[in-house]
Amino acid sequence: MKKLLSGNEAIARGAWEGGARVASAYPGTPSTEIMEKIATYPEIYSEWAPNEKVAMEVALGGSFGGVRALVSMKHVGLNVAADPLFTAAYTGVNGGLVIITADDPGMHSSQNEQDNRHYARAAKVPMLDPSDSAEAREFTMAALDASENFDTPVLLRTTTRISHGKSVVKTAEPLPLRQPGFQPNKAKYVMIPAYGKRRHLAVEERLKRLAEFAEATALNRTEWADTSIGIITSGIAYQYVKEVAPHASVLKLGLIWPLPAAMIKEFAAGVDRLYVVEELDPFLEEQIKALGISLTGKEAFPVTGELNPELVRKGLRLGETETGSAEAEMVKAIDLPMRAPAMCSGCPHRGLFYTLKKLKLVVAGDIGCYTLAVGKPLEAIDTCVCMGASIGGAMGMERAGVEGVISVLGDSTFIHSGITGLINMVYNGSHGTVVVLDNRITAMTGRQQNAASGKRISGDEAPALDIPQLCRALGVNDIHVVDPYDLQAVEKAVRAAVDHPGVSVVITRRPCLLIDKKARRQPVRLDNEACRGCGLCLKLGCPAIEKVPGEGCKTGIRINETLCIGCGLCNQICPSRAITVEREEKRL
Amino acid sequence: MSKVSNITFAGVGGQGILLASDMTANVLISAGYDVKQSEIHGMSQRGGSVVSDLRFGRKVYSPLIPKGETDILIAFERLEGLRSIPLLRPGGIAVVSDEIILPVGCSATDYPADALERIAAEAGEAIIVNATETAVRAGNARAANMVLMGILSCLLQVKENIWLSAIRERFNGKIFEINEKAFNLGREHQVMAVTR
Repeated sequence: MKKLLSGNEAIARGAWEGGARVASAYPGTPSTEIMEKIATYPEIYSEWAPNEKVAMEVALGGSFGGVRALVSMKHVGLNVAADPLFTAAYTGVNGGLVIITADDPGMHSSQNEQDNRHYARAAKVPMLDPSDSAEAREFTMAALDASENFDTPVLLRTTTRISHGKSVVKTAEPLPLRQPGFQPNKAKYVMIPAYGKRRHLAVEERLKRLAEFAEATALNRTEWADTSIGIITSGIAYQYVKEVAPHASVLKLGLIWPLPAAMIKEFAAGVDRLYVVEELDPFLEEQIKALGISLTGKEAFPVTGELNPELVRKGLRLGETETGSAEAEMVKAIDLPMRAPAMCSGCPHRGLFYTLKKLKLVVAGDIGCYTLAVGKPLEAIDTCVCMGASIGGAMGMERAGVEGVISVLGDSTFIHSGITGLINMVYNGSHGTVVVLDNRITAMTGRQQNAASGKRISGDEAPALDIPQLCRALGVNDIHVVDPYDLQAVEKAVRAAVDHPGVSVVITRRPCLLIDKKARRQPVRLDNEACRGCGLCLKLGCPAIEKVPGEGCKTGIRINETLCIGCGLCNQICPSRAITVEREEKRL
Repeated sequence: MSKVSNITFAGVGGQGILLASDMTANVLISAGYDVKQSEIHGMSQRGGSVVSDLRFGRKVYSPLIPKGETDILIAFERLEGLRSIPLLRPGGIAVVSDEIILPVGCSATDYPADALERIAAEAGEAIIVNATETAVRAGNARAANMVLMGILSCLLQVKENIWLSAIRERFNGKIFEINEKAFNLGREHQVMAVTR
């Protein structure tokens, strides 16, 4: 049957058709929809894990238990899961294990644009690189097969354009499921040094067999055409190459680690001029140059940002002269007001950041919707590195002698990587404050359940992690739980926490408005006569407060009634009391 | 080489852009085309610009439309229409909803007042409609995307019943009626524009 599927949906479909039984993930753009889709197949156990390391371990355990397993994450998630990955390469598998890493060239929704192809080489495991949704499905099944045939975890790497791009997929019925069963084998599954040394030999021997497989598999193919130009490529870059150079000869790599050396040499010898077209790092280029082959690569194509048909066209024409760059493309855009994403109107996070800015604190931020508070007018985030880094980072600044530092992170990020940082603060005698923005959901990635939200991925009820009780158990004595819509309470709690001599935790608790639609109230009313036009309300950065000179009050401030949900923050800060709140629920 | 046709959908997160793009893609598959679609989500819910590329033909490679090769631009808002105008090929058609959504923190004085005129000057043909107002006439402002899809359906060589069954598959009951009506109002708008 033919269907239009995103790459993520196609991976889920491939896992189901390929007989996967256990699947785990932590949400992260652009990978999130893989597990959301898998959760719709009742044959597969699926879960949101607290972080990628746990997800990887659950999937590896599933494989040890004899069934086929999948774990998915965004590129930076693999940094978190790298520990089990590198040793899973030694233990190998029992049931097939596929690890999905979704890279984000162009950083559409990420803090860096690392190229995770390097992980395949570093961890010594094979990696597949699909170039559309049909291949995403097919390669997921091929990865599960190769995993069992070569006794190795297999990485499947996508990029944003593959994960979120949609194309036509032919689907089929699922394979019969493997029966579970663990066969104890200490020399394989217990990685003490004595056994690990032997397994390392097995890993090296396996790589040789995989290199032979790379020469023979249909995952790699040569498309001979005009031999005056030859292009080695993979993933989404293959599509751009076919778009702009339909007559060129192409070596399309589906298995990008290990590489088929003989196939590459034969291809290089058969063409007059050789290019390597790949997004991000010169991963293929460096390996192919190491075979003694000369080619045109990153001197013609950018290392930063996404590729696109224009950049590939430009690179192939210009060869080794001028380089194109994503920045140069951006400069050409018409000079128009930007429409950057912002915190929603009525977002429970807004009041906290307004308060932190007012108190002139140094804010160690983290990964989530609330990172948007870095933008104007709030500008209340000073650092953002990775999941959980707000806590360790603030501790380090405190020890460096910086005063007035505060950590801010969401509930899901706290569970993912914040708890150990808080333990460190208590253990090493910090005086710092951690704010947990508890909106009862993993919001940024599209509202996924987490360990504190009271529901599982299936929607079934689950025990909700009690964050205040957890903090108490970790040794925090000064804990404040406040409603972030109550600015006075927020300010009082933050001041008290900052003044407290030991570790403090402030929990701002209110569900994300996107999950709690009943919290929406009628729009606030602005009294145009009473307004003195100080513009303080604009400092909230609320999308519902618009500046329309000539309309509304004297200074042209207008409440957009469609967007306003009546949270009342503007009412609380208005010095002229010109804004009134309605208590009635908003009908949509 | 067989010709690939390109449609760009552009607007503001929350306007139903991705749904319209998705439904059109499925209509084109039903009509027998190879289809690819590419868009960025993740940030879309938070009021950012959203662009969805839709390509169809006998065989489609790149999911991204090469810049300046869009045949039809469907813009859900004036500023986003103007922002996407450089994507349109010479002689391309721009369908623009005549509505303004101020970006957060942007004063109305910084919003380009002449967006529609600039779009009309650049496009081979500009079709202007207030999709939200039209959708309100159909019963719900949120069906604005169906109004634009109705206009788009007049510009593509796909039978009307394929579009209608796509709407029927997607919506139920009262919501279906509203969306179907919005789609038909879009078609009527286009028919009137052509006969005028």
